[in-house]
Amino acid sequence: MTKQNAVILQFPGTNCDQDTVRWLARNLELNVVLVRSSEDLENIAPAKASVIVLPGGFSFGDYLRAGALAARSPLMNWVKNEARQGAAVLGICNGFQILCEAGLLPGALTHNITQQHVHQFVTVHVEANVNSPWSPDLKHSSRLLTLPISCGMGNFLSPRKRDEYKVLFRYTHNLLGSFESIAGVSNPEGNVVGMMPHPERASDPVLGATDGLFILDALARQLNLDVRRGGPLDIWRTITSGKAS
Amino acid sequence: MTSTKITTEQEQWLGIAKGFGLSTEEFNRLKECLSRAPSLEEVAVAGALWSEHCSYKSSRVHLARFHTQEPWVLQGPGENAGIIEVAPGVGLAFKMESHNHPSYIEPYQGAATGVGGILRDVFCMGARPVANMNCLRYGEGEYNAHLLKYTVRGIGDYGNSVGVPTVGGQTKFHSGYSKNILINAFTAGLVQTDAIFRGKLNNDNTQPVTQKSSGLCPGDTVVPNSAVELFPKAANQIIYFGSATGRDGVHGATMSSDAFDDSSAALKPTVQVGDPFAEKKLLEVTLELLEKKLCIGLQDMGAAGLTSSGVEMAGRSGCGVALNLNAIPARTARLKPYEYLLSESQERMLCAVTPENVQAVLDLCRTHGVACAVIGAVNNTGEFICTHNDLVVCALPVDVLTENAPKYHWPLQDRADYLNDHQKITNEAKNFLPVEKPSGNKKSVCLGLPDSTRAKLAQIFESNSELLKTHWSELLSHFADWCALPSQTSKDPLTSHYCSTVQSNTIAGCQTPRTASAAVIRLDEAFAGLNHGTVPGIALSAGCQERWIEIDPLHGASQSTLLLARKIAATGAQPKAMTDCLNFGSPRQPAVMRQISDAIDGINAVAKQMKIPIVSGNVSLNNQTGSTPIPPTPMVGMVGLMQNHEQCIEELPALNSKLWWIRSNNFHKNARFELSEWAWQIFRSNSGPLPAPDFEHETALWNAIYELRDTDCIASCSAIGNGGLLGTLINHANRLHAGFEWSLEAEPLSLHEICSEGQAGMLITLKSNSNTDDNLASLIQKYDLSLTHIGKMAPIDSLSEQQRQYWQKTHTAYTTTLTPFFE
Repeated sequence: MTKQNAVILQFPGTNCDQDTVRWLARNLELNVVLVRSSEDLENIAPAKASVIVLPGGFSFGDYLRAGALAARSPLMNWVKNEARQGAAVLGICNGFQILCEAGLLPGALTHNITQQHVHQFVTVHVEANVNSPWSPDLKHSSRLLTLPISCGMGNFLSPRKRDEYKVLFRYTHNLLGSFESIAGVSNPEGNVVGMMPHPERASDPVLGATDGLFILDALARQLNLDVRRGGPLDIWRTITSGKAS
Repeated sequence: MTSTKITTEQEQWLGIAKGFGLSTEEFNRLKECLSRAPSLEEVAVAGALWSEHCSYKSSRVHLARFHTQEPWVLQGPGENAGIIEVAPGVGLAFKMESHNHPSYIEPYQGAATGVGGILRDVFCMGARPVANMNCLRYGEGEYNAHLLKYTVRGIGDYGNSVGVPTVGGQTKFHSGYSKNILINAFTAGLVQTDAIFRGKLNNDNTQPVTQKSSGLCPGDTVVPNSAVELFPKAANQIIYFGSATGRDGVHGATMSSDAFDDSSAALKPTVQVGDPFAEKKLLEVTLELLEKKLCIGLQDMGAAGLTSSGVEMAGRSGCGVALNLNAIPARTARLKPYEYLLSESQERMLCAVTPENVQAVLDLCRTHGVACAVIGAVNNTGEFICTHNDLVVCALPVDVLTENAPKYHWPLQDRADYLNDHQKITNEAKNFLPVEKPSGNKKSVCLGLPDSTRAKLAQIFESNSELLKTHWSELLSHFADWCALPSQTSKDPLTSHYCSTVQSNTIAGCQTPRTASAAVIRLDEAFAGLNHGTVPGIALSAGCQERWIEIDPLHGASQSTLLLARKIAATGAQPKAMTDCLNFGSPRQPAVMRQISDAIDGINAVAKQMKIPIVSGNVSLNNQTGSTPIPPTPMVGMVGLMQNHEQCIEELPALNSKLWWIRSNNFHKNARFELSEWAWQIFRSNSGPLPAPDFEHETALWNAIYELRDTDCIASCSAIGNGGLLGTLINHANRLHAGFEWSLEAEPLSLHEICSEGQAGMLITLKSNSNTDDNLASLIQKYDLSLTHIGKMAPIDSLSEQQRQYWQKTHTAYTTTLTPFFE
């Protein structure tokens, strides 16, 4: 079976690109491509992407507003097009900011109420009933995930209308001051998701954090992806299914 | 009426020279070296390169004693960073640098550009930065609260943007830093050993050519096709890339090397402004240039900007260099020649490129959106020549600026006299913790216990009964105050500004789920791929025990360095190499010179004995205001290696696990109450003598830990640090939100014993499945150590009502004290 394609976008100033590439490549049988420019899009990007991830960082140095410049780059026109055709799109941290700035997700992200950069492991609650490729299946868990946040502008401002979005994750302690404690939202269709916490940094037992694997586990199930043998997700699935039975 | 002051030309020149940091003797020395009068630009160049910051003129004769070589050292001192081998084919480049003076003047930009500078030092050698640390010292009062807030923000914002995790370091407070804070930044990066780049202008296989003076003097016109070819087309070309040059930082190097006086506020415009996005682009373009092997040599423009990078590269290569200042990308019109030369605008690089690669380099810079220009060429004049508007403005022999820079043998105070003068040092802190929470917005750093608490603690420690048991519950009631002291309290409100998890390799660091006695990262996959089998881990620790060093710089520095090594050993890693950042007062004070000389020997003793060579470093002198120097603070950053990162040992014990205190059986000689933070706070003094390092017991201790690691018996291990055993237990209880319960076996321990600092050993717990209590006893005997089962970390709910209340108050003080400083 040919592998499905995953595209990771890297803008100037993006700095979680390698973490994100490895997150996917270590765990899932995906053809992972890093795209940095319009030329890359023409030359190396696959014709159809099943998965698109916008990693964290400080694209264009957060000039103007976080994510504002990247959102207006030619790469994002391609993302919009793929998203319309149903690709599973995930924006993490700065990627979330870009998705909001690009209009793929409602609302906006602004300075944390603490007015400081906050790096910390936090707990988020997974909301039920969101039909999204990125929404964890939580039959076996407390529906609480421990993931790190690291941002200066993670304070989610209210979208205009209720039906514009679905809430995927909420902070159990609303450190950043987000509207309704929102840590992650999806578009009404569920295929485009933005989240402030970094699941890619919490997917390895040796780092003492594995809850990010819940998100890849969901993706694998929804898109029928094979799990990479011997990778963290494979091992984690064996352990968790053992616990369940 | 205005009085007219008549000055001779000579006096005017001396005034100018002084403005550029040259003393009268140094100005005269320059004149003698040149056998003519120097130009304004030449005075500026000499002033910058002969500054303490660039020339190490006062410390050089002592630095030469450092032990710098071991088989795993790939690059020792003298380059932008030192490098050791951490896996076959993989090097770790690292260095620490100070940015003390700029940060006191403008904390946010000063601290941020300090991080930027050290990052460039590491990536210009071809290494990708993988970890940052910082060592910070603050004093007391309101201005220090302001400095704390904005330096931490500056450090965080810069490192976070570039995408390098800040994994550890040390932040402490002492009234001696109130007017001279210390901001020392450390960066480590990974490099393939066949891709290490050095700051040179010619290939290693270039035949040395006898250098022949150009015969040019400032004011001469540059004649095209003259006999002296300043810019030979066939020679390596000098390319400038990165941000454009502005006036910022002009005089930075001379300012950094000066003591402060009341007019320091006027120096604000000399502080550089950082742009981490420019740095990130510079990082990517630099690593790509090096990976494609497009340049011969490369150096960042740090202190004294273009001048120092141009001259240092020429010096290392034994050749001359000519720069056309008009070709430099500038962001301000009408920059003066000396401003081009001295500007410390950030995020700039200088590289030497063969003529055939020039176009490729310029093209690559343009694709990355980084400004670049050919600004000069390598030549055979042996001189540093600069032209501006087709006129020579500077023609200085390179060796005058480098090897022949002044070296000072400042007089040293006699060691016996020094020790006598510093037998007892006093805690001069004047701001005491308020008994009630302060109201209002004014924040002020308070460094002393409330008088009432101090008096009660003094009573306990002076009572006839020394036994712990007698005093425990009363002691417990004062822990909340202890934990409100800035040096003891949680640093989470600081470290939450730093992203420690980016790159996804941080096994233990600030704000990570796992803990270790030092920060631990695993070798990045891109480099680990070169190494078949297990992936190594790198342990990092940094800091300094200034109170010990002030009492006795020799043994104090040894003990301070050993403590950092012990932290690394407690993670299961082997200490491998170190970098230093020597922060002291004015070298013109014989007592300070004694501190410098002895501290170097003290660090060196550990380097030699434990095979932890010093591979890079930095010296920051004149950290003083008026005639009062800072406490001697030779900061050390140490790197250790574990073969398999999965063997990293946890720092915090599990609740209810049996805690064992392992220490030398010569503990009473190796650690003393009079050196402890407790004595410093309760009796407001510390006193000597400082024990000489006991390397034998230290080695035995580490070997015992390594054996426990290899037999998979050890569950947790922490090196005993600030506040001795008791301080470490309080710290752990706070971080676990638990209480501590002594065992019966611990009851005979004396109060002074559990508060002693020095070589105070380690705290360990064993894995429950390993049935190893007996094995531990025999292991301890084998290594000739001493062992006590001291008790356990107890869940807060299992404690008596009163104990629980005390511990809860302690936790609150520990977690909340620093929070308001960042609001």
